[in-house]
Order: sequence, then structure tokens, then C-alpha cells
Amino acid sequence: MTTPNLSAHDLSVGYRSRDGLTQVLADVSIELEPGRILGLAGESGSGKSTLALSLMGYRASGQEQLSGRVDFAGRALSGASIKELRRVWGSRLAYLPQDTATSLNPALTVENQLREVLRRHRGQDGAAAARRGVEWLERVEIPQPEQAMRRYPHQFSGGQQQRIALAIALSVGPQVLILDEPTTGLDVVTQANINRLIVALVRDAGIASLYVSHNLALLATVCDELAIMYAGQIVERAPAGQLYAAPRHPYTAALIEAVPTIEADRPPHGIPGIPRLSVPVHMCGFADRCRYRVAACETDIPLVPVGDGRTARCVRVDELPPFEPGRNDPAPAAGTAATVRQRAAEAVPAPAPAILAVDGVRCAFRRPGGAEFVAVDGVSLSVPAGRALGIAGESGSGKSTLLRAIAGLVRPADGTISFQGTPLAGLSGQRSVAVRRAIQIVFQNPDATLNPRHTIYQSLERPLKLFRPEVSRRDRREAVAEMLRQVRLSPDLLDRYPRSLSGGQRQRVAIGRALLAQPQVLLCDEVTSALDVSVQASILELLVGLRAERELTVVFVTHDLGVLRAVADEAIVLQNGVVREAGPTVRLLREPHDPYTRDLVSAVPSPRRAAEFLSGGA
Amino acid sequence: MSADVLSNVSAADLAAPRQRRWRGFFAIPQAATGVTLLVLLLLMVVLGPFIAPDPPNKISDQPILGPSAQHWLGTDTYGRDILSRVLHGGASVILLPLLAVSVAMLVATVIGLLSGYLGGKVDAVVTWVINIALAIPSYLAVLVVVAAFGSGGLVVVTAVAVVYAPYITRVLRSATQAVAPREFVLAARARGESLSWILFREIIPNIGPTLLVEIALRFTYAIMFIASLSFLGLGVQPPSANWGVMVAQNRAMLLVHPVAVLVPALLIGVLAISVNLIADALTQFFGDRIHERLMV
Amino acid sequence: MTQTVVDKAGRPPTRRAPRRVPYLVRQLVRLVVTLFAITIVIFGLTAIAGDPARDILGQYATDDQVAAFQVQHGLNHPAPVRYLDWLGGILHGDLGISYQSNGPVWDVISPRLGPSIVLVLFAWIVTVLVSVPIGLLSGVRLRGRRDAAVTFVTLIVAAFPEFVIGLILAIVLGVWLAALPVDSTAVSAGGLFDHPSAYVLPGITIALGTIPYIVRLMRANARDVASESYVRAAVLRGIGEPSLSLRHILPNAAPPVVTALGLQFAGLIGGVVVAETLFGFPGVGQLLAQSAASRDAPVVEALALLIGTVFVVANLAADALVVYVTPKLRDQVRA
Repeated sequence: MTTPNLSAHDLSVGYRSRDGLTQVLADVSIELEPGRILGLAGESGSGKSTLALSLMGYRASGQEQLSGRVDFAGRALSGASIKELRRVWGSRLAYLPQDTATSLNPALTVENQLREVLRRHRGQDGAAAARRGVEWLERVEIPQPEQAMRRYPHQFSGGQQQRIALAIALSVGPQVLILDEPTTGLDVVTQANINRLIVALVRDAGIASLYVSHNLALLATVCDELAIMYAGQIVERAPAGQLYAAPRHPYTAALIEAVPTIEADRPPHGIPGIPRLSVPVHMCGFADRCRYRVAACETDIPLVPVGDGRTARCVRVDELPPFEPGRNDPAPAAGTAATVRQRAAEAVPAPAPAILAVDGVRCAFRRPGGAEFVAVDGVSLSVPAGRALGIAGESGSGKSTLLRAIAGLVRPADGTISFQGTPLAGLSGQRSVAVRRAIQIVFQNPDATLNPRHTIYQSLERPLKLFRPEVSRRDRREAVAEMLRQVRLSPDLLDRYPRSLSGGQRQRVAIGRALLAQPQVLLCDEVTSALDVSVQASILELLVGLRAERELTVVFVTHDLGVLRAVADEAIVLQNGVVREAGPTVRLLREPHDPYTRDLVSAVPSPRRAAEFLSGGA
Repeated sequence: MSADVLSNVSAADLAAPRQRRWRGFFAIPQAATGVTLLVLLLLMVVLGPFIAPDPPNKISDQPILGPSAQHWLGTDTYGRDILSRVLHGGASVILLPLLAVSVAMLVATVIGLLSGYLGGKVDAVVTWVINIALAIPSYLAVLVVVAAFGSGGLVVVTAVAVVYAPYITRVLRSATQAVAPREFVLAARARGESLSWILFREIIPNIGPTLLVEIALRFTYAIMFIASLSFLGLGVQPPSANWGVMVAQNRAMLLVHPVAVLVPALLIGVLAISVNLIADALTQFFGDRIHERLMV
Repeated sequence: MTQTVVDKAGRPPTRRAPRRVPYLVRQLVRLVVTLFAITIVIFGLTAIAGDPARDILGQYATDDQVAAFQVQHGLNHPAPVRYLDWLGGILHGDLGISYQSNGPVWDVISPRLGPSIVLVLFAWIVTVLVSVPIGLLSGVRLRGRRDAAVTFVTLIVAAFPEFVIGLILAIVLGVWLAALPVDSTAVSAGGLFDHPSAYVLPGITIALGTIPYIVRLMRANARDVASESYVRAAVLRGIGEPSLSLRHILPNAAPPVVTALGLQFAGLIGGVVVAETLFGFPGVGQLLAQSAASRDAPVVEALALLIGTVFVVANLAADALVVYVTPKLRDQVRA
């Protein structure tokens, strides 16, 4: 084992705010070794981003190091002066930040930003620096590097900006590279390409790397080793492939099961509750959500070795059987997603009439500059009653616009949308009450989907008032409470405001609001994209269950092919407003015909076929 | 107008109703100071006429006296007791701006809301009018009006109301545009809620804080503007006891009897400061960024 | 030139609008249209008021006198005709006849232009030199107590109406310390720069009216930019001061301030009017106040148009500067 370059020992960090001290990292020990990529996975509140920055020796305002230390190349980083830190930052320790589009200064040319670091850390300037800059732009696959040097960041796409940031970081020749969600927010295909590039460059130069992400599948595919963080602690660490195939910690296992994948036949399982936001005191952070909890879980639990160079933080790690995600579950109860899928698969496909039909719809917007932007360009589809249609595509594909057109929020410039055979008016205001009632929509952003100034009851009451006037005032409260129960929320929430609910809870309320109208078609616009993985899985489970109970037709928009697989019977793939392929979901994902769809599918990280993924692509 | 080039107000810039109740507001130092000062001034303005020793316009034969037992602040060139005039002179300094801002606010809110939400041709026309209005500096516009219609409290109030309305409209339009695309508004539209429902029950409650901040800021500016106009002799006319008028009239005595000028001047200053502090505290309390973005 | 950079979404460019008229031309057209609209508004405001003859001549004027006044100033013609006359006159350099002096408006205005221009330039330079550094420093460096102090001071100064500030300055510097002249009437005698000290008090008064706003804006912007992701990324690349502030923060924080400086010019006007009146400075501001008081509409209209034009031009220049300096906007307007 080679000597580690950058390491943290028993690091504990907290934030001090008006309300006191909140601890966000507890006793974290980590080492990075040259040429190896360590992945750090976690959801919100896990502390992974704080750890990434602390490893740099960086302290955000309000941050306090409570104990432990960070060492780099034999010297202590924590407590070093800002001068010493600046000497190391950028030159030997490189950091690629989370926000892909704004790690570059919009006011400076690419050349200036490259030369800035080269001048500062290697004393290079002039022609030598320019040459090296161009070299590195080539290595990160920026087309026509000489011209690119003279351009400004906003003239590149998000993915290219991140490549440039990578070039800047690596051109100085650092020994360590810390990446904090470097590809989050980018297209799946772009993500795949950039990740392949990162792996290649890092392994080539023997750089010690830390890759932080919430995307467990991605980490399991590109990293050598994986550490899982929860509530500020590392709960498990193991070589990537082993961890993903056979996790030892209950949280890891639950997390893996919550991730929707395109191969799995099993639907994702949610974890009850919400991710813990701070370090637990004298107990296991995961205990309140863990199904294997016992009294012994209420003590400080150390990270212990569990063989094969692996460690895990669980008192019961030796007695629990090894987890095999997907195969260890008790037989699924009736009405759950699994049975729905089974039923759907077994049922003889009777020719169901199309409840919703879209015919040659075109939606266009006028850009501020006057140019016209076509979001949806002649899309046709039809949804048989009671089925779930998934609309997949990257950002800019027009999928959300299409959904909103169906909902009556965007008027199509061309084409017709029909419900039960009757064409609909473009805007919802002009549609009949019956139609408005029959088609309901749920949106993506849990922070904006409910009016912050209305109580939950007030928000839920509206569809009753508008669409079910037969429900008398007295009965309304009970009807609303009942709906809350059906979306697995307590009726106690009725008089609260959205701000005191979590993201997942708000989405459940939004779903409840849509269902209170007793619609026939439920439109879902990326309803889980803004949620943590474990919460997302619960919402998906809920949707699938509700759909089964009410024989609802669902149209589900998503960019995540795993989610598509979990929810949709049939799927269409959109690119630039055009349908690239359509068909049954399973078939489409297993054997895509269209080249774009094929690219999309092969760009999805797959831990089981990591080598294939890493060598794939251009 | 030109500021549109840079002003991309987003929902994040919108003032948001706070978690903590109004108690949190008073915890902000500016708020406590501002409210205290304002209350004290209001007390003085309301009770002043009752506790003043002399009628404000009572001329005596003892002009330009320094402070004395009989006249605490001395007398002015007409021998009028300055203290009495000060105690009477605050009402118009507060009321005229209040009136102007209230009228402007009413009109501008309606126009701004509709323009911001409906967009399209309505918005195009409103924006065009606002841009023209913004192209003429407010001071100039008011001076033109005064030259045409004559001086006086009523003229000034109307002029200031007309001149400020476009600025308020702009702020409210921006705020409405920041809220209108939010998903809960879209959900309401999808449900087919009526326009008045959407405007009054969905949008207004969410731009309320911005409205409050705007009122406070406008009030501050109006106080300064109208006092300034009175100082120039264009607003409230002598012999009315108005602090601005007093500053103008007593300015001649600056070298011999500065108190006569300073007291009314400082009172105007303190009034404006108190309202400005409150406006600033409101901005902080609600986290309003729109005013900064629009540079209003 | 071939497109070397792929369009953002990785797709061929969308259908563009036909090649647009160059930015500067567009702005010039805007300028002319705006000025035109301003003349209508200014004239319209006065026209609505009706006939001022009686108000100006006083209540003891005879009907003959009133009629004569009306004929002399063309008030017997309908408003649209008067407007066109006025507009036509302006385009020939004739600004009309003053109601008070019965002489050409230009003669009333011209001796006062020089001093006012110097005064405004002086005030503006002071403003920029003081507010930009303070704002930048305050936004980037100062925290806690000192930052709160700066904020508090700007708040207080901003809230004081200009004439109050001017008075305080006059009393402190002019009376108690007797360091500067309180009366600036001397400026009208002799050349523009014969009495430099007479410019100081009014100039500082005007500057103090604008400085607080610019400081606050600069500070807020600097703060925002300093907490932007790319600034932190630069810090983590080892970039330190002064490079950080000057190369990374300032170029991104400055544009809104430039725009604000243009917009603030409107506020400056009020300051000029008040300060000149307060200190007896013989400039256009004082004239404006006096003419408004004496209902001398032609003079006020002419001045409003003059100053308004400067304001519109200044703002368009500020916008153009911002566009030129911001790479993203430069591309946008070229499109």
C-alpha cells in the first residue's frame, strides 16, 4: 500500500449559527492514495461537501473544527496560515467545485484563467503558458483549442465549461484532486463522457482523487473505493464493486435498493423518514429509520473492520446476514409496485382505447432577442386508459413543455391534444370543468408547488371546491384528512404551512391535491428529481401504488432512465422536441433501436458493467 | 429602461415572509430605533398644537431673539415664537407625503399586477409608458408641473403621486413576474382558477412583503422630496408653519440665530431617517432583493 | 467565420431573426424617440394647466394687459400649434421667450450653464472617487461591527434631505470653522474658476446626496460577487488579494454600479437645485427653482428639456459602457 498523500484523522467539524453549534462531521478518518479514486456518497445532510472542503483545509464562515486534523504530504493542513494554504491550493491540491457553470469567471477569457494559475504556481508566462494551456484544452477534448483560448466561458456549453475547469485544475500538475459533484446538472451523455475523461486523466497522472456525489450508481462505476456517509459519519467503506454487490451496513443496502436502475426488475424501495441533517449524539445516526434497530444501537458506534479491507459502522454488522439488494426482501405484499408490474406483465394487452392523444403538436416561444425557439416540434403520442407513459429526455428536449401543453398551461402553436377523443382547447381556462378535473398535474419543485401563504388544508381544499361541489363544507375536512392518510401523511399537518414540511412531504401533498379532484389522468413533471434518493423512492412507490388502486392513467416526465423503468409501462424518448423512439419501456431500454436512445442508455452508469462503461463512448 | 439590461429579477430576490413573527423584526436594531424615533415624532406632531405656548402665526414686536425663558427657541424675523411654529409645523411634513404615496400605491399596484401577470400587449403598453416616465427625472417633472399649475400643497401632492407611480409600478410588475411562473400559480391556472382568485389569493400574499418595503421606501423619498420642495418655496406656502418653509424663511438668520434654522431642519432629517431605518429593517427582515436589483 | 463552438445544447442554432440593426444605431433611434416623447410630456404638462397670464400679471391686471401678454407669448393659439412652434424653435436654437424677463430664454440660461456644469462635474468626480473604493472594500473585506457601521452611516446620510445636509455643512464648515464661503454668489462675477472655494460646499452637498446610494449598491454587489462560486473557486486555486478583488470581483460587480451612476444623475438634479438655492450659487438649478416659483413656464420647459436630454444621453452612454464591458452582453447584442 503506497503512502497516502492527503489524509484526515478523526475530523469533527461544526457550524456555529445564531441557534448554536451544529455538528456536521464526526470522527471522520480518510486517506487518499495516488492513482486511486475514492468515492464519497451521501444524501443531504451527510456532510460530504463539508468534508470535501475541509480536506482542502478550507473553512467556510461559521465553520469550526472541533477536533482531529488534516495532513497533506507530511504537514498539517488544519491550522495552517492562509498564506501557506494559498501556496498549496491550486498547485498541489486541486478542487473542482459543484456548480459547473460558475467555477469560471465570466469576465475573463479562458486564456486568462489558464495563465493565471500557471503564472501563480509554476511561474510560467507568455508563450510557454499559452502552449501549455492549449495542450490541456486538447487533453480535455475542447474542439479548436487555440480559438477557444480567446473565448469567454458563457460561449461554451455547461459540459465544456466543466472540461475547461478541469483543464485549469490539472494543468498545474497537482497531486490531489477533489471533485464535488462535478457533473451534477449536466446531460446524462455529457456526464458519462466527462466522467470517463476524469478517470482517464487521473489514473494517467497518478493523482489521488476524491469524488463526492449523491449518485451511488455513478460512484460505484467510476471509483476504486467507496465510502458512504450518513449524518456526518462514514458508515461503510469498501472497494466499489464489492460494496455495491454486497453491502454490510443497513443504510448502504437500503440506499442501493432505493436507486432505480434500468436493469433491475425490482422497483426501488424507499426508506421511511428523511435524511438526518446533523451528527447524532450517542446513538447510530440511522437508527430511527433502520429496520434492524435494537436497544444496543443507542451508543456511540465505531467504524470496525469487517474483513477484506472493508469497514462498517454498525453494532449488528456481524450478526446480520449479508445483504443482497433485490433478493433479500420478503415476498412483496399485494398492491405494491411489484405486484402491479407482475399483473401488468401478465395481463393480456387488450386494445385499450386511447384516453389521451397528442397529434402533431408544436410549441414555440419567442426568445428575448426576437428569435423563435421551438420546444416541441411535431410530437404525436397516445396513451391508452389505465397505462403509464413515460416521457424521457434531457433538459431542452421539450418534455416539460409537452406536459404543460397537455395540462393547458401552454398553448400549442400547431396540432391537437384530445381527451377521450375530443380535442381540447389550448389553455385550461377555456376548457370545461369536467376536462380540467379529469387532467391533473404535479410539478417538480417541492419548494414552489404549494403556495407558501396557504396552510396545507387551504391548498388541498381548492380542488374540492372547484371540482367536487357535492362534498359539503363539513365533509371537506374529513375528505382532505383522508387523502393525507392515503399519501402517508398525518392529518396533523393540515393546519401547518409548507415551510414546516420536508420536500418529500410537500410533494406528497401536491400529489394529494391532484388526486382530490379524482382525475382520470395524472401528469407528473419530474416530480422526484429534486428529492433525495431515499425520498424519491418512497414517492415513486406511492405513485405506483395509488395508480393501481385508482386505475389512473399516468404520464410521467423524467430525465432519469431508472425512474422511467420503475414507473412507466410504455416510454417515448424526446430530443430537441422530436420523438426519437417509442415503445414498451423494458424493450426500449434493453434493445434501443434509435442511435440517440442507444447513447442515452449506454451513458447510464452501471456498476455491474463498469469496465464497459469506462471504455465506452467516443 | 436602461436598467432592464441588467435587471433579471428572480424569485429568489423576492421578499419572503419570515419564519419568525414580528418579534424578530423588532430585534433588528434599525427597526427598534426607527420605530421609536417615528413614534416620538408622531407624538410631537399630534400633541404639538396642544402644548404650544403661542399660536404659530402670532406676530410680536420682538424679532430675531435668541433662546430665552419666554421663547425657548427664540423668535423669527416676524417675531413669531419658533417653538410654537415647530410644534405646529410637522403635520404637513408627514401628511402630504403619506397622501401622495397612498394614491400612487393604489394605482400602481393594480397596474403593476395586471401588467406583470397578463404580459402580452397590456404589458408592452405599460412598459412603454413606464420607460418614458423613467426617462424624465422626477425632480424636473415636478418642477414643470409647479411652473404650470402654481405652488401649493395640493399641486405638490398630485405631482409627486403622478411622478412616483411609474417607479412603484415597475417594482410591482417585477415582483409579479417573479411569482407568476412559480408552480403553485401554474397549478392554480391548470385548475382554471379565475383571474381575480389568482391575483388576490395566490400572487398578492406572496408579494406582500415587497409591497411593504416599497411603501416604506417611497414614503421616505416622498418626505424628503416634499420637504425639499417646501424649502424651495414651491410646496406648502408661507405663512403656514411647515418645517421646510421655516428653514427657507429662517435661512437669512443663519449667521446670527442658527437654532431657528437647525431645529426644523434636523427634525425633517430625523423624520426621514426614522422612516428610512424602518424601510431598511423591513428589507432585511424580509430578505428583499428586488429594490436593489432594480436600483430604485 | 465558421462556428467553432457548438451551440449550448449541442444542437444546430435555432432559426434566428433576420440580421438586426447594429446596437448603436438602435440606441440612437431610441434616444431620438425618447427625447421626442419627453418634449410632448413636458409641453403637455404645461398645456394642461391652462392660461397662466392672469396668474403672472397679478389680480390687478387689466384685460388689455392680459390680452397683450397672451399675444406676446402666443398663448392665443391652440396647444398643438404652440407645441409645434416650440419644437420647431428648439430645433433652430430658439428656446422661447421668458414670461418674466420677456427676453429670449437662452439669454437667461446661458450665463448660468458654465458654473453649473463645473459644479456637477466636481460633485460627480467626488462621488465616484469616494463611493467606489468604500463600497468595494466594505463589500469584500469588512465584516461585523465595521461593516455595520458603514451601513449605518450610509443610511443616515441617505435619509437626510440635501438641504439639511447643506445647512449642517454650512453651519459647521462655514460658520463655526469659517473655512469655506457660505455664499457662492461671487461665482457669477469674473471667470469660471476665479473663486474655487465657492464650489466646495455646494459640490460636497450634492455629492453627499448620491454617495450613500452608490456605496450601498457597490457594497451589495461586491458582497454578492464575492460569495459567487467562481470567486471561491479562484480562492481555492490559490489566488489571493489584490488579484482577487481587482480581477475577479470588480469586473463582475461594477456593471450595475455603472448603470446606477447613470440613473443617479436624476437624483443629482434635485441636489443641484437645492444646493444652488441654499448657497446662492448662480447656476441653472437656482434658475430652475426661481422660474418654477414665478411660473415662468418657457424657462422651466427649456431647462427641463436640456437637463432631461443630458440625463437620457448619460444613461444610454452608461448602458453602452456596461454592454461593452460585459462579455456576455456584448455577444447578446451582436446576435
